[in-house]
Amino acid sequence: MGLVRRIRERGRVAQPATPRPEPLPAAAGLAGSVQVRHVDAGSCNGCEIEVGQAFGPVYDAERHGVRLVASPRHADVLTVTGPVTVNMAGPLRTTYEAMPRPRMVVAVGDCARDCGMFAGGPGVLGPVGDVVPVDVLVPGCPPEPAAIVAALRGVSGR
Amino acid sequence: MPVNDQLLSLACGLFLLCAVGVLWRRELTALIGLLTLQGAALAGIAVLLALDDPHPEALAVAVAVGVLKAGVLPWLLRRILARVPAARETAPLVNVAASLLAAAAMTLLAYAAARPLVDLAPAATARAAPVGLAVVLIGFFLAATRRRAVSQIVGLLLVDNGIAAVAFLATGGVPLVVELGVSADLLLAVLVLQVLTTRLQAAFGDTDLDDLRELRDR
Amino acid sequence: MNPVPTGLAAAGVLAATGAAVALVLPARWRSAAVGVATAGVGAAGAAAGVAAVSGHGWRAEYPDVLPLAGVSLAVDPLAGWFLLLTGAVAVVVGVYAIGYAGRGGHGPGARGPLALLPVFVAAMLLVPAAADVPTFLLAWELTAVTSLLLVLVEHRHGPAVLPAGLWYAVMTQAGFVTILIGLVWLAAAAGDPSFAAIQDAAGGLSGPVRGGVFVLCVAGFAAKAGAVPLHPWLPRAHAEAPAHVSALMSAAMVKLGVYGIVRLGFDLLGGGPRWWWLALGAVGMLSALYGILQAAVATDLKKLLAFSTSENVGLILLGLAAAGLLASAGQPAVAAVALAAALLHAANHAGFKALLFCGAGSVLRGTGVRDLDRLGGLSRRMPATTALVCVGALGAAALPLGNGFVSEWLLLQALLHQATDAGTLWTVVAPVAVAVVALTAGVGVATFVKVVGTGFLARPRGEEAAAARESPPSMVAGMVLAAAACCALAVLPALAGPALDRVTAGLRAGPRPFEGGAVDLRLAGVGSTIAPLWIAAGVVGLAVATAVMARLAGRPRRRAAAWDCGDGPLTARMEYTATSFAEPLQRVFDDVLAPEQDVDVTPAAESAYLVRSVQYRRRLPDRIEARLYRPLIAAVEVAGRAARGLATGSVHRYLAYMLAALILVLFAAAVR
Repeated sequence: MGLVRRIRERGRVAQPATPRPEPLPAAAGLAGSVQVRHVDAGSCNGCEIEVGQAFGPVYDAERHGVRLVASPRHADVLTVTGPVTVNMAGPLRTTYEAMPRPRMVVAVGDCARDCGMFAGGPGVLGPVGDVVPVDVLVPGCPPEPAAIVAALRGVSGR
Repeated sequence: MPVNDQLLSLACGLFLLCAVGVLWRRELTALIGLLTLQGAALAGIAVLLALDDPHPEALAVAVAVGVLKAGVLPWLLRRILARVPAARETAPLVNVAASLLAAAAMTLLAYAAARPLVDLAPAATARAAPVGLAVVLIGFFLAATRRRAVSQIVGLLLVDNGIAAVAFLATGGVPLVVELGVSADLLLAVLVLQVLTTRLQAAFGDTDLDDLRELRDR
Repeated sequence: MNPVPTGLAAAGVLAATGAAVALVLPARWRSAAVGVATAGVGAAGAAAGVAAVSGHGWRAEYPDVLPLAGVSLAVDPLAGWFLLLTGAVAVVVGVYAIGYAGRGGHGPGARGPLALLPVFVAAMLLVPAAADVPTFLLAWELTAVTSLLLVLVEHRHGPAVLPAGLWYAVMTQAGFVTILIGLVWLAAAAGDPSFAAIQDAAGGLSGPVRGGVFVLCVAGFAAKAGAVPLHPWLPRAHAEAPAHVSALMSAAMVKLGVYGIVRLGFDLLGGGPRWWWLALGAVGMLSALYGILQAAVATDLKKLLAFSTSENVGLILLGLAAAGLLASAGQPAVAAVALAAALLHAANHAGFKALLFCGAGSVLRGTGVRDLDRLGGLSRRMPATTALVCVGALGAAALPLGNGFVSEWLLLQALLHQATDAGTLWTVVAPVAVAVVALTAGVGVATFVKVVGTGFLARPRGEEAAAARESPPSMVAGMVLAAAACCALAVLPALAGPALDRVTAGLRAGPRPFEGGAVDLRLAGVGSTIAPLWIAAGVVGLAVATAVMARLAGRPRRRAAAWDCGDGPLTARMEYTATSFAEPLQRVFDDVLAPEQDVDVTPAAESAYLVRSVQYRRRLPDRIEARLYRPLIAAVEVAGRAARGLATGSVHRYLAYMLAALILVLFAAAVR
């Protein structure tokens, strides 16, 4: 009974939804159901925290048809954070190859775009675009959860 | 015939009395003498039964029994005794008074247990059968409570005498073949025991059976 | 010409020739000749059994064979059912033993063990055919002695064989003594040792006599059948015996215990008060649950199969108890169904357990290990064995296309039937029994998925498994025969319908349970039908249709490697082992199983906080054995040590013991 009372007291936590962004034409085949597999290719985890918030109760990406899955075999979209390190290049490539088509890649953060502050560091291979073809980019260091949700809504169209 | 019945009762009574006497006396020579007397009594029982229904075989059995039990076996025992210096039973495990009481109790038990046997053929002979059973028990008791090897042999011979007495009294006689077989076994047993006694004497110095303690588990 | 005596006589002659041939032939031909002879004994016995369940009866007396008692034989449909079962298992084992015993002439291929094998089978065929108490006891003891010698065959291979033989010897002899006392008491009360006379006189015996005989005999028969709590010999003996002997013992010999209970409870004593069947049902339920739990957490393949035998015996006993309870509650139609379920499950279990034990023997031959944790990946190198073991596991798991499913379905039909006028006892007991059967079936599925998945699929977890060799063709042929029998029973159970009808009619247990139906099994009194043939056809058709349509849909396909989390190939160390597969189940039943865990941490030399190695050991003891048998054995040891004090070495004391005994006997004789 304490749980029901607490739910009644707290009320709704999620932020009201913003107007729908433009859907991506390449994502039309997914018909609004987007399964996302996340790969950390060498980030500092700042973008991971924001992605976690994006799927949390406040920003709630799942109400727009976007869902995290555990295996690339079940995924439609691959989200990648961080500059691609030498050790993670192979696994990232393997993960992309393991996804069934149609598949898309969303690069999250400045490091995914152009290695950000880690450019030229030892062990850094290059931006995500060097390893897998990128369809959507979410800039920011780190990007806000709202921006991440907006990018994913563009893929799901909802 | 009444004379035969009285003589039979006399022989049986003498038979039992010899057994009790064996429990009483402590000198080994006395034991052998009593055994001889008992053998003669047994032969007397056999002769009286043979006279009752004349059978050449029965008389032959009586003679054989007499010769063996009153002659051969006591002679063998005296030869054993000659090689063994101590002629007296030392401190038996149960003292004489208690032994005699035990003999009385065992005689009563023999009479109680042999009642069905007696009821089968209620003639004078069958009525006397429990005497044999009592002598068996007394012989066993002797073997269990006396220390000397010679006493053990006397106990064994008492047991055999008792069994023979029951056989004669309850069934009216044994076939010659059976008696010869049993006698041969007994003779062999006594000869072997003679050798063992000599060995015992040589090994331990005297023939106290309590010196033999190897047959145990620990 | 009556096929029954010809079959039995042929079996006897073949057994004698087999034994003689084993002692005479050189090692090269020995196992082949004895295997063929054993298969012949089994075939002759099975033919006699088929004739008996088709209605040919037979009885004969041979008064001169045994001194004082003579030998008296009689075969009725019940005996025929068990003859058929035993004979069929013997055929499988005979063919299998040709390859298993090998050409080396040592171990199971030596003269003695090979000579004993057909004799063992012949003794097992004699037990159902016995028609009076002395013959029965003679055949029983012959079975026990020959099987004990066969269990001890590989005593040079390891230290566990001799204790296993000791446990088996003591428990089987103790069981024999209780059966002896019970049957002799019954024969004395009835006045005649023949079963026919006992059957006539049993109605007039008093309640305590019948109850006492039932308890004594069922205790002995349950010990032979391996029911908990009389089971400790089963996992030991079956694990250490050679595989073909384990197959014979588990599939055929434990059924003789079941035969004894059916013969005594239903035929000789003609049913009894409810507490008999309640006690039997309690034993059955305990056996089923405990057996399958121990099997679920066992990692030794043969020990697992032995505990599974315990579980199946529990289900059979539960069926018998249900039949007895229903009969005494006035529901003869449903009672007949329950009895038929128990007997059919005995046959099904014989089929799949023989197959599974032969498979375990193949694995042991091919790899040298029987620990499931070290196996794995055998499907690539031993494909025939894997496929055949899958058929057996399907039957053992009682899933719809296996043969165990049909008999468990029958049992549930009898238990679930809405018997409105069966009394409160039945309405209370039946749901409990259904729950037990359901739980057992569930855990059973998990167990056999474990066996097949961790033992045969995935990759090899050790070098022995990686170097596995497929078995020789004769072993595979034996297993194929068993698999064929399992499939026949699974898909066409109606083949056994008429036979079971005659058996229940012969036991006067109720009206015929099955009616008509060549392809489907129709239950007469209960009003249900099952047609596994159509289910199988449907499943196969669906699978074929799906495959064809997927091919026809023509989507582009590409080959891809198995997903391995991206970083490097999967190794065998990453697989589920049998222990880890069963761990969730073990945690759920922690209170029942009470595992003992040991963690050994070895720190590095420099600091106690740096760990060099951690060793984890987990032991699952058999709690019933620890609670019930260890105190008993300890008490016997104490008594034995105390009794040594009786032998002090004094000749006088020994003579005094004899005198005392004599006086006691005379006293007793005088007093009476």
